Amino acid sequence: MIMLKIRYFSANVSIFPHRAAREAGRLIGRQGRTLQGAVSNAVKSFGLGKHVLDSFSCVGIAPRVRCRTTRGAMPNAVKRLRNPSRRWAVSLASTRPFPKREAHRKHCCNLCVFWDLKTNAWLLICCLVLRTVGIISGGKIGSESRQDFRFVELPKLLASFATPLRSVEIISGWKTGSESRQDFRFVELPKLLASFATPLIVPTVLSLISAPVSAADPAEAKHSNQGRQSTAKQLTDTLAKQSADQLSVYPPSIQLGSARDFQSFVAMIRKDSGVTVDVSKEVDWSVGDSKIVKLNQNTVFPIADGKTNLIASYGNDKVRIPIEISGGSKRPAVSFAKDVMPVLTRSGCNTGSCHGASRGKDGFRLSLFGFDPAGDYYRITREIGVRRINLARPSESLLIKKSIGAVPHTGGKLFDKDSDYYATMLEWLQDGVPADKASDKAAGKADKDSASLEATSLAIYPPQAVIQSKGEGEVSGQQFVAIASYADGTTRDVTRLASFSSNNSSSAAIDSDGFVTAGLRGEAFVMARFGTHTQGSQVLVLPENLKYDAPKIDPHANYIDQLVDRKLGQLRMLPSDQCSDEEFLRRATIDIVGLLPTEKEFHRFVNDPADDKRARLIDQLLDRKEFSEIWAMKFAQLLMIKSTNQVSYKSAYLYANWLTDKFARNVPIDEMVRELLTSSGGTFSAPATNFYELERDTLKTAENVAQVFMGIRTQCAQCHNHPFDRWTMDDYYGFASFFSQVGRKNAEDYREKIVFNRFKGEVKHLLTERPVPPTFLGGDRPNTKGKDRRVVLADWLTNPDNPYFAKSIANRVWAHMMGSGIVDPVDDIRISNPPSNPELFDELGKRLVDYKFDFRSLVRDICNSKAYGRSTKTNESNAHDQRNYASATIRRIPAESLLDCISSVTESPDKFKGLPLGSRAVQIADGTTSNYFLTAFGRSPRTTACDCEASTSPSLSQALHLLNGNSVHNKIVSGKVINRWLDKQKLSPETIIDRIYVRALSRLPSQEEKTKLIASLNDQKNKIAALQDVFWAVLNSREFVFNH
Amino acid sequence: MKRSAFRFPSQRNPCFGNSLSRRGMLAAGAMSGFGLTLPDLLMRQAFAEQKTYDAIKAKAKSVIHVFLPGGMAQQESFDPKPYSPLEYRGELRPIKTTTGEHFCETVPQLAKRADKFSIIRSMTHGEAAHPRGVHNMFTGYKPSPAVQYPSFGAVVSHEYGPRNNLPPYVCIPNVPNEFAGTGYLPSSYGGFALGSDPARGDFKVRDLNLAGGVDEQRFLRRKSALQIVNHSFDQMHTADNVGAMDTFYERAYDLLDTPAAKEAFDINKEDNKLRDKYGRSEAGQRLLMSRRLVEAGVRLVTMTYGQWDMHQNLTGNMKKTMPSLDQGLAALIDDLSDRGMLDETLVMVTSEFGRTPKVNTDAGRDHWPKVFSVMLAGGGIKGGIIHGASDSTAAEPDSDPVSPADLAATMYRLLGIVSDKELMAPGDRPIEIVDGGKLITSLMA
Repeated sequence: MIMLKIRYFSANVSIFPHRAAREAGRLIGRQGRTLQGAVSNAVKSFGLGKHVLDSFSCVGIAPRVRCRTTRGAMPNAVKRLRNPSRRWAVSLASTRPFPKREAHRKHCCNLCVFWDLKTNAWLLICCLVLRTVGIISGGKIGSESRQDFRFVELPKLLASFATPLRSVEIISGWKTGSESRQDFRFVELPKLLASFATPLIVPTVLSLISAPVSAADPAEAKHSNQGRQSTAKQLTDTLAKQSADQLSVYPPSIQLGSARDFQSFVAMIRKDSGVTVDVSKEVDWSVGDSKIVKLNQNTVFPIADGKTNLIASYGNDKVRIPIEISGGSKRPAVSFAKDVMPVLTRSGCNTGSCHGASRGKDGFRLSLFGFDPAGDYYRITREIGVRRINLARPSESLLIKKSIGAVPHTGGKLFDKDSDYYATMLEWLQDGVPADKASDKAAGKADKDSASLEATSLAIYPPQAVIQSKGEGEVSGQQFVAIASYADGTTRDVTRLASFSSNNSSSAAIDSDGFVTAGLRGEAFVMARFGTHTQGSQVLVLPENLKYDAPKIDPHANYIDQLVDRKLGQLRMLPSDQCSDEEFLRRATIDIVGLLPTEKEFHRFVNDPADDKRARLIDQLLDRKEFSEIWAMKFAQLLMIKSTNQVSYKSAYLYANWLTDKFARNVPIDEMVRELLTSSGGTFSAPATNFYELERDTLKTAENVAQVFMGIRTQCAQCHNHPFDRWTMDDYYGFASFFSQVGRKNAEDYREKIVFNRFKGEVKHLLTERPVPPTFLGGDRPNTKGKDRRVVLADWLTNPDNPYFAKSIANRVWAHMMGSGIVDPVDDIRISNPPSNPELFDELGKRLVDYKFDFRSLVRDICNSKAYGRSTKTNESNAHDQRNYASATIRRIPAESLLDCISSVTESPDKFKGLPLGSRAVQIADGTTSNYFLTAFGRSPRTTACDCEASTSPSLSQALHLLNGNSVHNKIVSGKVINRWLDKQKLSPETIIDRIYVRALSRLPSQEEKTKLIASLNDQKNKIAALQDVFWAVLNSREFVFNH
Repeated sequence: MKRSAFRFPSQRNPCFGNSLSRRGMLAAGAMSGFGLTLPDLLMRQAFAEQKTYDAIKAKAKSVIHVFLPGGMAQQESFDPKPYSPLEYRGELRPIKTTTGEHFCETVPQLAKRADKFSIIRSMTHGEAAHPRGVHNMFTGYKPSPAVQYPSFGAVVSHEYGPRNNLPPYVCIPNVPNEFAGTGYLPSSYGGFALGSDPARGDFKVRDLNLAGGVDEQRFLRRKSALQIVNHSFDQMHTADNVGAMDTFYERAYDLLDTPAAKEAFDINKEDNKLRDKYGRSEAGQRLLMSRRLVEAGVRLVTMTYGQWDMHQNLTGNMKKTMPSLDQGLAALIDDLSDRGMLDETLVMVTSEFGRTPKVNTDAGRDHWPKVFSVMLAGGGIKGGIIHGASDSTAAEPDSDPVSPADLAATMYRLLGIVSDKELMAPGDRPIEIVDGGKLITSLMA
């Protein structure tokens, strides 16, 4: 028994594809004030009366129609169908009276159609009949007027009836749902069916339906993750093994799993200089046993099972790559999902601008990048009858005639008739468009066949290339090979099937076959996408006759310098010189403690002859309480600490103090985060609980945790799979589940709330509306039974093995000190936004773990590196680089620190709400406390967890404020520094100018500056005003507001 | 374009109507009947020969971009659906406009002036999340993970620079969102934010006057001292942010040196009666401020007003939020007409998306990017036109769908900016101002 539930109230109810029927559906929504009206409209318009009756009688069965309505009246058409002696029944029933004017409430009436079946044979006949009348195919049920669209594919459901039904083809044309959303989920039917389906169907149907939902199989995610890590590791290995003209062959091993299989390979030599050359064509290739494999140019094909080697000889170098052939005699049938879909994806058929658009293109829709193979299968083989395929004459199928441009096609010709793509498609058509057994895989009883349909990981080789661009007319480049691995252990060469892209086409354009052509000097990340996987490889392009004397990398140098310099060496970039002591003092003081060095500190440091004075300075600065305040403020911004209608000032204040105290006591960051995430108790007595008060929404809390502590933005996946990353909706809701049991209640003090763990409560998936068990992002489903889920999460997050936490925190520290993150923005870490220096990115994370999450040690490492101490002055080779730390980045001082600097040099203290006079802006606990200066200079309003909330981009308001505003002029006047120096201490104007410079710019004025400034003083009577003007000019100077 | 065909005779004789002979009228009409006028043809030929970027003439001198954050319901504003069921049409009733069309009853003042402006009822894009929708409507581009696109204001300031020493791009009251920034363009093209709401009694744009105790003379001395201090640093550093700060200092000097420019920021200089006409509301005063700035020389004003993300209680919220905007916009159109500025000022009222066809269980409507309405007035836009249509429930565009790129291209064209001009993004990467985008010619006068 199959039941279709029709949302009565919604706009687009249609059972049959005819326009009339669709209109009728609208009528139901629009005019059907009463049920009878609706039912009779529907029955009339759908032609149930005529067609069904006629068709049934023509095969000798008469249907029995039972109509149950609350109003009792029976539409004529239904009556006509009524014949109690027959076994077919069409029943129209309503579960609820129809509301008359309650527009805002969700009401629904079930228009149920029962097909009361004895055997599948009956269904078969029925299908044939209905097919004849052309009613059922393409039927569609759904609603698109609300946000919670359901999309259910009946083909899947019905496909499970096994062969007799499959051959029927028509019933599988039924479909419920709406196309109006971008992410289709096949979810609704289980619910529907659960209550109605007979034991016969239930298991299969349910298994089918859950299939796409579990698309983001955690195991799969894990695999791809491992894949990435291993690529990174290889990269490190490759770098480590840099020696003279080293020949490498990729892939490192070859597996051939069937007669259809083949594998291409590339050879690359890495020269002394680090430059790589693609020598695939020059290498002398041979195989160990030519009886079992055949070699054709740069591809091997299987002949018989066995093991042998691929041998590459180049000069004196010889590299052997193991080949393993299994099942070499079997030739599996072309699979839709495994073979045909990749062709469609590769040819761009299912991109957003073509048929992958949510409404398709020119009447034909495919799922975006093929996320829905079953739906695509249906649309290609079933939609609009069999218009798109011609099984009698496969080569006449519209599907392939369009793609080779034999008939007019808006998308043009996509491949040649003699291409392998065409051959694959044609073979599939010739085989009679077999469907995949993919649908059973969700039930958990995945057999070997279905498991191997979807790739579990992807690899792209070589992992890195350093290409020299040649002159005009000569092309230099590198061939890349993409290999997909499947759950059953097989691999497949997908170079011809993956889509390649480059994030910097002007330097390294990659063509559709994976060949990178060197362009302008620069760096690019080329990516291959296959299925849901994306994998990237770094490509550096260097000019050919570049003179470059690589500076020696000191093996004893700071690990940061080794990694940074190695990257610079690859880019043929010379690092800038080290900055002067004055510059270093100012830079380190601003970065570490958010203040300017005092005059005393300046003289002491500059006059210190010791070699290790920079290191000592760093240690001294790290010991100051201002260091912890800077970081407390940074995290207060990310945690959005501010008083709101829900969170009292006292709570916010206590929360900020808690945070500051953690940093001041140098509590390791993992410990702090664990305490924060697992906090329970009153918002006064346990201030960390305010984390759950400032953001009370479970989903947002989870998003914030992912963004702040892992640098991952999951927001997209709330409504659809992340378009640029691997996160699916299942990942999103699974992660949010960790926060679903947070309870809140009032405390004695009306301003205080108590946060506790309820041990109950779930997060429901937007589409399935079912609870999703807690799942780590890209990880396992832990057992949380009887535990505080937050504890489980915190343990995972702060575990040294966590792949995100330490790296993300280390990257934030790096970005603060260096001006830009290795992954930038720091909270948008994803495959398509790769780190500029992956080894350094990983190493910093590792070091942070080694330091037991004490990031003072990490800051010490960074500040002691040569990379940090470089001058801002660029040289010819690094002038245009901002991501590789060849020179220091000029940054405007952040709003709070800038105000603190102005206040300290003018000795004019600020007063902020809740803090004593003379407190610094960095210490402001409550995010709502601000002033014009802070707002204009881009202080974080703390409204979201995004790092971008705090801005340092210059603006006209800032210029005007420094020129005319009270922050400079008034502070100079009220601080009376000049008056004191001139009147009380009787200092000479020259000394005063020196002291202003030292205070504000941490350097003495040059002779030229001094002469000019003194000259401007001479013709003025009011010496105080004149010197104030100099002070004003210094505070308005670029040199002052920028950290350099 | 049609108008330019008979602009020559009108230049000789200021009396526009008389100068046209019956024959001349016929000639112009005959050509424009084909949708092409002679200059149009010539221009096309010219374009075919070489890609030239400065061939179009600006109709609009400035733009007032009124952005309604949150997503204004098309049904409860310019695209009511009175014939759909109650749960689609909502509780508010339609009213007839002067042109015989129907608007929602929330905009009675605008309905009376429907011949002065045009409505696009078939605006569409697919981004149902606020940030992404906002990105579309501020840049004309879909958000990209790789490139940060500049906002309309940044492009206009890049293309034209300041006029009358006023910042070319001003945001009222603040920079509305992260996409209103400069994207890949240098940050010196960023908007100037008033930093205060003109509706407030204590409204003042700060720091436009020299600090107390500093006269012109002393300010000049300060400037020269600043030059001395800056000299070596500026010589050494060419970073974007340092350059932007330099530019802003130059702009600030220019602004401070121009009393008329400074005065534009002082809303108290406006006649009290006119202020009342705009309405002493956030919408009214911000619109009035926009007009003042545009009149003084600002090229693009981005003004935001209200919170339109009405997931709940749509009727009540609409009744609370819309009237002052209706009054303000009506007053703005009247005021611009009275001053003869309407023809050269493009008023563009947009929102990041529309709202669902069907009212939800909280009596609100949710995000709906598939079809929504945009209002355009002046600056080379015809009056009284409804461009495109949505279907019976305002769920899909029924005819003439307009994409954000189309709208952006049209806006740039009216401003005289060729929208397929390529700007240079970092890494010598040329990027078109608008990628594609068809001009909405039926709206262009």
